[in-house]
Amino acid sequence: MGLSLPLGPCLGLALLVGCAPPQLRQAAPAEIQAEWLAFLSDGKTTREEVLLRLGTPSAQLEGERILTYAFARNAAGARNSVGRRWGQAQKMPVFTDPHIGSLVLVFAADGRLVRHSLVVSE
Amino acid sequence: MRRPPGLLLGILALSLQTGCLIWPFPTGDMLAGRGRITPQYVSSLQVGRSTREDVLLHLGEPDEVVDGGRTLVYRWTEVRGFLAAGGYGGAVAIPFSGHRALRLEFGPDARLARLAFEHGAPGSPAGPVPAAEP
Repeated sequence: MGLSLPLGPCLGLALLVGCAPPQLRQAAPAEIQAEWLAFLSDGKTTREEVLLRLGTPSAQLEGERILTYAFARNAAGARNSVGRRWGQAQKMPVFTDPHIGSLVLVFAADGRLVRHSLVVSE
Repeated sequence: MRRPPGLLLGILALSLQTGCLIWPFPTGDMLAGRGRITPQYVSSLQVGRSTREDVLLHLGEPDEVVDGGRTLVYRWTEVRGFLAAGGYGGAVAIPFSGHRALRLEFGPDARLARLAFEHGAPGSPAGPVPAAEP
């Protein structure tokens, strides 16, 4: 006697598994302490050090108080700065790689880093 | 002028080999944006309490900065399904895109005043999104 399985729910489950798009999340502490970000230390690192190490930020808000860097990781694990491309459907510049990380750095009035975070998607 | 019967038979055979499939299920692919933002992920942001700085640290770089930072918008486009048409020796699939956005508005004190999920292409009138999905 064969095993009877409900075909509908099984098919529905098969369609849903693995179909969730990448979602934003906060990077784990270990990811923030990765080699290329290890120099970041709240209260110590200056904006000048950040600019010398990471180059031109992808965006700056509230003057230069908040800097952001967008980057993608290639197959070899190396990080590359990425920019937006014109999206025909969106009619505006958009990121087209879903695995882009965003590093956010907040500085105090004296130019020292006070808070930072890494937002990634998976 | 008479058409050769072979040509007509060929067209008939080809028409029998063509098909059309509408796949109304999300494939999990992103067409644009850094990733989907879920209501659960932004539940820690509180209207009247969270600052612009808190929002940026939680969500990363916004896709739009309006009115000098009074409004931040995060956008993403997902594949919501596709239309596939195929024939003998060829096929084409056209994805249905679903535009989504999270709009955050701030008061003069830089604290979050409003947070809303929207759908629709940028520039089009946005409507509320069903509670089940962002």
